[in-house]
Amino acid sequence: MKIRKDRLVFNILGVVVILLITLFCVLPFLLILTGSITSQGSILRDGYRFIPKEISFQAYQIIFESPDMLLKAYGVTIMVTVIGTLTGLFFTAMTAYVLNSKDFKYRNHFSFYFYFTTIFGGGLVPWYIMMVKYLKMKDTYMALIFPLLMNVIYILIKRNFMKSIPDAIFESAKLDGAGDFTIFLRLVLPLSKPSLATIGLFIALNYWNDWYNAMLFVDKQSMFPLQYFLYQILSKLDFINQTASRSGVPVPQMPSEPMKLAMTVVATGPIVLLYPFVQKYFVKGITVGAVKG
Amino acid sequence: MRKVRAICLVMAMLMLFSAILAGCGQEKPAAGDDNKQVASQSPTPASNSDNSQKEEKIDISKEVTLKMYLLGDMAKDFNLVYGELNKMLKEDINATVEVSFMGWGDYTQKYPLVFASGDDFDLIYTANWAFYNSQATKGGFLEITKDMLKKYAPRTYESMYEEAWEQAKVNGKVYMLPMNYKELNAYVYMVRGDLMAKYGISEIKNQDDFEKYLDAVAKNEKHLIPLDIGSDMDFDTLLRFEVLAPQNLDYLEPQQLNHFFNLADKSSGKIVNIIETPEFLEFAKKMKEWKDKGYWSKSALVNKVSSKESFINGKSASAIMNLSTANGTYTSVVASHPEWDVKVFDGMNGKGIPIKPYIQNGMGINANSKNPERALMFLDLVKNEQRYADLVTYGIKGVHYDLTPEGYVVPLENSANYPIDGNCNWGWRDDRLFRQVQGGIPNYNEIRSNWEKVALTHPVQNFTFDDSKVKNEVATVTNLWKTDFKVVVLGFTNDPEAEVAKLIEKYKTAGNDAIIAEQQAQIDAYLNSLK
Amino acid sequence: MKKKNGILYELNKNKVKFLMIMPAVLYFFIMCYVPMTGIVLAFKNYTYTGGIFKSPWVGFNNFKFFFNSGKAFLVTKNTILYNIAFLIINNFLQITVAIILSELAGKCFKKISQSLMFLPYFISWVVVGAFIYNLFNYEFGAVNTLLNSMGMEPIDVYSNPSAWKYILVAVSAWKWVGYGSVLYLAAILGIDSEIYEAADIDGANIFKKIWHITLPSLKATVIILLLLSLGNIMKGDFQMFYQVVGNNGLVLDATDVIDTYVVRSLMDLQEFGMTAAAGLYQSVLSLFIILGANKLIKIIDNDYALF
Repeated sequence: MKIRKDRLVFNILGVVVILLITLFCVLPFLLILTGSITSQGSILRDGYRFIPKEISFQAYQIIFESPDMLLKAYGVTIMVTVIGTLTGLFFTAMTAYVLNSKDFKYRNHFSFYFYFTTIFGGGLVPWYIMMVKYLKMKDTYMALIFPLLMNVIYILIKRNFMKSIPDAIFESAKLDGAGDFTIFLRLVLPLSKPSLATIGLFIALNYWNDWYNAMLFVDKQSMFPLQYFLYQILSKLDFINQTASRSGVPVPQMPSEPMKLAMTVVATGPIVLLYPFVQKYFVKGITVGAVKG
Repeated sequence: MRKVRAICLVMAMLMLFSAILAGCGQEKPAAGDDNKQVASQSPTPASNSDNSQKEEKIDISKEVTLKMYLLGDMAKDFNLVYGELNKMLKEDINATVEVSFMGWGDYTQKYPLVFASGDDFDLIYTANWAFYNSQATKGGFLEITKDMLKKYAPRTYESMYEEAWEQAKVNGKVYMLPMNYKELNAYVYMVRGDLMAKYGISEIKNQDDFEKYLDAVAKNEKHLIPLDIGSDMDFDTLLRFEVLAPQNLDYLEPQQLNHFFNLADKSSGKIVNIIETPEFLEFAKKMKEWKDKGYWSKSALVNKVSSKESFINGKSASAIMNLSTANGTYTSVVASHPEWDVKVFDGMNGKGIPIKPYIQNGMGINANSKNPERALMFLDLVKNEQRYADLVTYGIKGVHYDLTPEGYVVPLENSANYPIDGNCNWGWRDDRLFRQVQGGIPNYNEIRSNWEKVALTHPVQNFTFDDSKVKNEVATVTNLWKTDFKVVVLGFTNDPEAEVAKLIEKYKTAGNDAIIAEQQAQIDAYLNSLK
Repeated sequence: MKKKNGILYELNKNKVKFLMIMPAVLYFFIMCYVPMTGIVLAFKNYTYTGGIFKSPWVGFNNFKFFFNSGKAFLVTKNTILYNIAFLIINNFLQITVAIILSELAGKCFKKISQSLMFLPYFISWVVVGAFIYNLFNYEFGAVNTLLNSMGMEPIDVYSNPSAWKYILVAVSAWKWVGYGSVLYLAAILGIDSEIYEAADIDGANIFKKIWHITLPSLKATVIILLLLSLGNIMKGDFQMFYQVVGNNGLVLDATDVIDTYVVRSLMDLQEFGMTAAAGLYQSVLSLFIILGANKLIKIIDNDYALF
């Protein structure tokens, strides 16, 4: 088939734009890779370079110093991410489905009820007291899962995506005698794979990158998720480098600068592999037509 | 209209539930109050009845676990060392400690929260820079009385410096056991001997010599920053050399208020607002000159690396630090760069050397603690018994450290797994039990003894500012210290005269005069109360 | 007839729906509404012994530090302007990328570039800050090294306030381009492909299809994201501003937003009341803005309104 002229122009322009943006996104990451295997002194003196001046794997050595701890931290993060994402996604979609139902009279009231929480908040203290004193979540895995379970923004975005499903589908299902929950489970979920994949990705990323809840609620080292585990290593190194050693003990130079970068590498690697899996659901045309037939 | 109704509905619900929560909340503070009263009262009758049953032993038949919060990060061998500690504690006071750490990155957030949540931990590290004042005024700590000390920590009662006890007072009450350790707040220059020889500088005795050194480096060593200052940690060190020390001035805590007093003038505690003095203007001009000559980076304002770290890594030619830090740094730099011929010079000129407040390290007891007696007994042991102090400060003998016949500490290979004096053991540090580490700066003792001869204390150092009436002003002034003040101190000005005037104006707008008035009134009242 | 409008009737009719929405309602009740009582702290002097409810009232005293500083207007203005700039530029870029990706043919190229564009999202602001410092450091920075080698004068970015406006906007766009475009891509994939097929038969060229089909279909998503961002318009990404700009007193007038200002002021004080006061100020302003915007959208097209 002959490629039309407008296609050609678009493709050339498009590829150039995408390539440029991709380049900007990749180059810093390359710097991170090379920087993470540079010595502390060289980073402070020479800055980040694509070709390191003094190679040193000290940062990785420190991270992998106790592989069992690192594996454990990965395990915690993966477990929390999987459980949290699946549960969160289910409730998010279910809530969005109700908010999108035209025959649900109070849907706007409920939307406002949810939305209001994004504008007003009581601050850290009462929330912390709630989590620790009333929900008793200190030092539990629930403390890592529960706070990120549902997000108003995602619910409302999901509701918006559902609008693209024609009402006729719901009505015909209703006529067939299907209840709301069945419709949601059998019709809506399969029909909204791209948006489910998107929201699921966002939820998963939140879990993956979270260290804040671990910082607040988890004291036990064996329960640290990956990001907090790495964060702890970094703050330890920073402390050793910056602290005023009062007793006059020689202080070894710790690779805190390369550590910042090595952390990024260690934490990003696995989740980037997840992305193609999500992309699988980004296939055009599986939506309405497929079901109609 | 609908929207209004929705909001009303939400508000109504909110109010309903705040009422419910209020119901739940009431128990807790009341319980906290009770605890506190019980704890602070019980020793009193007990000590009264002491007369009748003098030999009465403290009842320790019930085994308790003391929950303790420390700042920093858990060292690799921490549990090993504290396992040893717990064996000893079990035997001596039938108690063990269970330690949780708050990392350096998050203690500012976590610290107030453990109090706010009503957690019943027993002990926590505290210091004048780590929320001692604010948590004490909010009712977070248990009040510690001398009667309690007599009964549960008798050796501490005997050995404690009276000044330290006075310093710990907030509104007349003590909420921490401060460290019992004298530390001088004085600084040294660390420079490279090879560069000094190259440019014919034989000695650095004062700021002028130092300027010559910086100048030679700035002109000839293009790849080196002469002095890499600017980070939030050390941007004001030159201020100390140029303005503070010569006039015997020192910071009134908290530092970020930028108020000073005269160490040498013991009779008065007059606040010096340094930015309004002619010396400061001179300093501002000099700093602009130095900055323009390239003595430090043009990006110094956002520098995040301390001058010490930059120096160690060969990025800069000099650093300024306190003596004990210099001691440790010296050893490691001599090992890694012997060709630098690192030299350390006294930067104080024999003036303005204060003994640091004792409350910069200490231990507090939680108001909700169920075992304050046992907590005090624990502190009494680590503060007074060498075997306890050695264990928590240096680790296990033969594993982490060894002792020379003269009593110097020698770090062993495993020392890295339990860094010497690096495990938040500072809260109970004591002069009598603290050991020197072998090695370090050759002229260490000379500098230190010179300083000790002229070191000053002042009653105002013991004064703690209650900022509750001027909190808003304190917030805005704090902001200026980290921004506008820093800009002038590092010489990033075009016209120092005009910009210092502007700075003074900004401080006025921020309400600095109100703070000074309030602080001065409190200081005067405090000094009067001592007479 | 009257009964048909009542809550009970509605409850009965949509029993299952109420059941389905209940978990979320309870969740936000526990995690947001109950803790929201903490807002009263804005008017109180918080003490541990008093807790949230028994601490003494102080009226509007906690707000003073913010309004007496003379900076309140400046930082509020900065916050809003930065957020608007982020909103426009980030969304424009994300939509562009999403449209191109949805139309390009090469499956492999699309997948790889999409993955790679996600990378900046994983780079923490601390690291971004370090990069910026390495780029613009006066003596050793990459930019000045380059300028020097070309025989040009070095530039001093750290004393140039207006440069930071562009740097911040660029950094934000860079950080979120991959993340945001996924959302738009999903929205484009939700468009009924029959519409495109019909357009193909009519012989429409690709630019026309984008203009007449894709963009209008994205309208709903754009509006909802816009409204959702408006709710956060008074907040700033503290980490971003703090790590990228730092405490640089020379450029603060151009870069200070409410969050950085408040954190800097209160870091050493730990006053929950004053933090709550600043938060309440942000919330109230946001509420007015969002209510106004929602009303406006409702007038234009009821279907797109948030609530």
